[in-house]
Amino acid sequence: MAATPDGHPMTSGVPSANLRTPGDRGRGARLATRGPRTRAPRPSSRAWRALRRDPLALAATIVLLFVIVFCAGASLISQHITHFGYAEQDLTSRLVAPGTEVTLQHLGTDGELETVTRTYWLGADELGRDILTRLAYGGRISLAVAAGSLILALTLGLITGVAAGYLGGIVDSVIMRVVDMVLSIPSLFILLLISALVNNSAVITGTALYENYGWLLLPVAISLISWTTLARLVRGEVRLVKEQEYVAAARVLGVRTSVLIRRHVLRNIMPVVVIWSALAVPILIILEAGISFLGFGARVPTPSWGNMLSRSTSVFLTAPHVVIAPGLAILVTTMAVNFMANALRDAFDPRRYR
Amino acid sequence: MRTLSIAPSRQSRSARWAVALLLGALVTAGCTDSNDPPNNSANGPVPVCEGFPSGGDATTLEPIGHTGGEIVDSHPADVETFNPLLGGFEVWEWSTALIFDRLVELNPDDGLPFANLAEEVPTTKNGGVSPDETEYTFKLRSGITWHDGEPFSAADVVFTYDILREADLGSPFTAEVVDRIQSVEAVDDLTVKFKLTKPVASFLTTNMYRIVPEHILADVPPAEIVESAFTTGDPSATIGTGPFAFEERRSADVFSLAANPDYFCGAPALDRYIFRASQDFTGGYLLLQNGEVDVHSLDSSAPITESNDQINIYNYESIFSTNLLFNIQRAPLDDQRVRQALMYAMDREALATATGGTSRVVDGALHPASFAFSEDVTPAYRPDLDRAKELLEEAGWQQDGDSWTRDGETLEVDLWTNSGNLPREDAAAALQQQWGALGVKVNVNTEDITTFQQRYEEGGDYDVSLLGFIHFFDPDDLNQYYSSTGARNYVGYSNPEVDRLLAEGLATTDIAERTEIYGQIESIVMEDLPIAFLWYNGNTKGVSTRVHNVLPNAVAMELNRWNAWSWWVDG
Amino acid sequence: MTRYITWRLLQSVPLVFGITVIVFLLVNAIPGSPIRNDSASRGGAVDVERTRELLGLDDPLFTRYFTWIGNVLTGDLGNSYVTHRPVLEEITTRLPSTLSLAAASLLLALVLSVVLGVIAAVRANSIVDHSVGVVSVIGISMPSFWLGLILIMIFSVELNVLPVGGDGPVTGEGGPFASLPYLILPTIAAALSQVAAWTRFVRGQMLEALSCDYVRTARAKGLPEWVVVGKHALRNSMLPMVTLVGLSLPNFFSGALLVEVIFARAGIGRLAYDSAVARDYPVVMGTVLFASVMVVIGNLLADVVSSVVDPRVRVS
Repeated sequence: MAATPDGHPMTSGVPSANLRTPGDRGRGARLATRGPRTRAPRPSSRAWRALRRDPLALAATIVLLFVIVFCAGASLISQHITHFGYAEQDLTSRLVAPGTEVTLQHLGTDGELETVTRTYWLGADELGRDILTRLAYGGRISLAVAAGSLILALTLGLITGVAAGYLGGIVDSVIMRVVDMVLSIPSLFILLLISALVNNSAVITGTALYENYGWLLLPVAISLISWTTLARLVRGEVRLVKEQEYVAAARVLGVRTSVLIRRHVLRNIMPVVVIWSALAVPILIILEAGISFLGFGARVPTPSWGNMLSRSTSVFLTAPHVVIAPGLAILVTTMAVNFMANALRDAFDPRRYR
Repeated sequence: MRTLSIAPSRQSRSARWAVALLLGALVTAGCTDSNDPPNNSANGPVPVCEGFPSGGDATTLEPIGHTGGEIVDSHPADVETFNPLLGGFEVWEWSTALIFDRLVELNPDDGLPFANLAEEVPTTKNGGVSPDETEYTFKLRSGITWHDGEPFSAADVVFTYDILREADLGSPFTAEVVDRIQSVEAVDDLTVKFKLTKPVASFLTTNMYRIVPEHILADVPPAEIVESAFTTGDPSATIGTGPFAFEERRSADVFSLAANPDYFCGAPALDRYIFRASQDFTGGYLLLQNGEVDVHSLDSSAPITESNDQINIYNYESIFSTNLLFNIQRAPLDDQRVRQALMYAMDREALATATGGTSRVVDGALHPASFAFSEDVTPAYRPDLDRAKELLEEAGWQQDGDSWTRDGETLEVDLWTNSGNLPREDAAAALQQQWGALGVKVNVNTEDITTFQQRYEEGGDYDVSLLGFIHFFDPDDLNQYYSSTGARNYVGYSNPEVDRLLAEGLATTDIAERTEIYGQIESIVMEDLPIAFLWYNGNTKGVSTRVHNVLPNAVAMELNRWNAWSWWVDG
Repeated sequence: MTRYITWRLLQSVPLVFGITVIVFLLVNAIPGSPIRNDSASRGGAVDVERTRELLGLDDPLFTRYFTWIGNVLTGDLGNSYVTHRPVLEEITTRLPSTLSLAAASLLLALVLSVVLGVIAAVRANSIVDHSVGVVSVIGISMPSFWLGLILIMIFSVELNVLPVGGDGPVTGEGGPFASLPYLILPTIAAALSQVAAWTRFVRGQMLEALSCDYVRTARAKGLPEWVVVGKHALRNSMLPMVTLVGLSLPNFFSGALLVEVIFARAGIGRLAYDSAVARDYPVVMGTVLFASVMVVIGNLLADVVSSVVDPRVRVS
């Protein structure tokens, strides 16, 4: 049974070795009964069509694009829209409610004091920093870490999955056993252990590498526990593809393995990989939020949606907007990606009764 | 004469107590037959032991209105161990202060010692202290028993101080015990004599450790004490002389202590003391508000700042301060003027309000509850951006746009602190901004507490470190930071004048003399500025109004436990 | 069937050993690992010495793992640097809290997902189905700790009907059911993300079952719809559900960690977090191992139950 990184099952049309359900006549049968079209439409156009057709998915795509633009343009937003820096504090405006306008003396670029009026659209946090601006910058980190983990997990998962599926035998057994082991360890527990060890290691923290690129450790750690379900998925698909006649024919013809893999195997498993990725992104975002919330992710003064929430637990009694804003950001983003993923999954899975 | 910091609400509280006392006196005068509950002190005026303080703001006790019941105390801290020898932090006081006693305790009104297990405080006048101030003789009260019935004697005191000398014990007190105390002997069953290696003026306030039972621990090898049942909590092993005895560890977060009816100052009014670890201040406030706990620390996030019908609020300074260490061993902070400039560029009041709520900004280095504390320390660094700029110019820096340069270098500072401490991280970010306003570029770095400690303890790579210090009330507290051999002199500050004055201050017990000496020291170190004292972290305690005689205050740290037997709750 | 059970048991053993190898490698291989070098750690000299013994750090490289495994198998996971009690004891005292939370949220997730999944399947492609789908996505997308905070804000602070945290009343009053109100909000927070995923699964299984021949036969026989759905289709759909529950266990424990932290429950998850913060490494290691073993056992149980109930599983 395939499952997304944290055990959410994928009920797409991926057969599993030990989970046969009544009425399941196998993928080959399904491929054969697809219909009169002689050539299957290209996956990318299928994807676009799916997204366009379903109004929910369309809305979700627009929302996601908006979020990405919002975060990418964080510095622009900070300069021109909100006029706050993400680390800029004003200790006299701590925890003000959303929509509060403040007038203050600001050192202009020409060195002269000028009076400006600014609005805390989403309110201020416990140091008087603008939450809207911090959401934009925080989103960068959250999305970047999620993207980074995704890329690394894809790499690991594809390599091991293809190796296990194509080579079979002992390689397959070993890789699958390792997958079982890693899957059995609850993610946050092992992330805490890794984080505690790495961040307290005098050797590691002393290196220049850590000082400049230390934040990379988080996506690396997250990817180390997320690649497993992809590996399983890929392995299953690769095995199926390998048994297809055209692959056997190509091998007999002497086509090189690497070409085979690239042209036939990878291309055929791409849809599944894309769906997995789409479903994985929300989980990775939430995982990053969780580990940052616990204090083991992004560090001061860098905001991330997760660590904005960890500070909020001490002030939510008097300023609930500090809790609501980052949480909503996470919710909206992950919902958008999830809706898109659902539409994609439906587009690529002929078995679903939509 | 220095004053205690007292929040305005407390003065009205004294008035309330006076009325309560009067009423109590009237009521008990009218009662002829008060019901006598089996093993608690009878209702009525609180029995005060001989030698115990009374009558002051923090030492006037309400008469007992009800016996029996439980008090639930709470704090965001893990329940750790029950061994008083292993810890010095306030957190471990929750349990050990109620189970174990010291020879002398600190009077919460003035921070000076009063007699607890001892009959009276040894002084040169009563002959308890030798003329050269190197010998202290304590006469113990008679009739004190341990919770398991064994008699308390001088042998226990001797054992305690002897075991503290063992490095294997893993106690943070060992170094000082070995350094200051030459020997401890039991002259007879109720008399103990300490021989010090040199006169130590703060001996009675800083080296009085809680006494542990010899009959329980004598057969345990010191290295194993840390894992023994005595330490981890066991009603048959964790034995003390205090008003409450260890009862049970109810869960990972909760333990309970049962009243000790044979406590030497009187049987406690309560049946039981329960401690529950809470998750954080906000959760704790909610617990307090819901009535699930009776006492909890509050912070600036609490919606209430004034006492109301359900909760009484107490504000006081804790023993923790927030400080900056300046790396005086290298540029740019090896120049005193640069350090002073940074001080002038800071608005500590705003910082303190934003990150601590009730913190107390001090100009000197002494704790406000210390008898040598003074409000008028010079130099006093008030926010003064112009003066800061002047100082930088004097130091040879030139303003270049919005930054400072000298010989092609820009004035840049690496500020380090530990992660995971939210107020402190916020303070670091705020400092970055305040110094940025001066034109100094600040790079804020955080790392885990262990690596951070190594960094500043071993003279590592930092310009400024933001951290916390723990203090004690005797002004000799300054020794650890400013003496060239001080245990916490991480920056390598060395001033022979200061060393000389410190030694003088320790050698005399005359209060006036000592105040004068430490005043001088403060002026020098504030001028030299190897360390900046930002503020003393404020503490706020919320106490349910159903609880009586629990009086949080700076000296007594958290709960004013010296009078635990007199705590009582409404029926 | 006993053969299947034995075979699965035997399969689990190398799995557990493999997990111990992973943990051991992590702890030893990270350069400057503070648990290996006795500097930088919360513990005093005595504690660190004990950990050296536990991990076999005084032994030559190759035998270290075996020394450690030997210790672990006798139940010696070291001592906590904070409380100095055996790690295993710290974990087992917190086990009831985590187990009750896991059981309650599993139950809630099961009930909710079955109800919602069946409704969605029976009314496939209708507005009800779509709504359930949307609600499911909301559930998956919401971070459990944020949901917990929101629940506290609404029910404990505003409405003041449910306790804000903890496992139960401190003063031991109220009898055995007094702890139940403390379980409500954490259970909801922990269960919600699982509900979403499971609902989809139930719906899918139900749709498949409802299109099968035997359902057509049952309907043709004139059986009332609720019998068809409830007795026949549902029962067959539930069988793979057991395996699904087993596979979701790692996710449950991770979610439980965050929920325990938010609601201040004295469970294993919060122990892992508190110890990581306190640099109490033996405890962190111990919790990782223990949680993983619990997941393996849970999967084992799920497979066994599933094989008892569903003959198809044994055959494949």
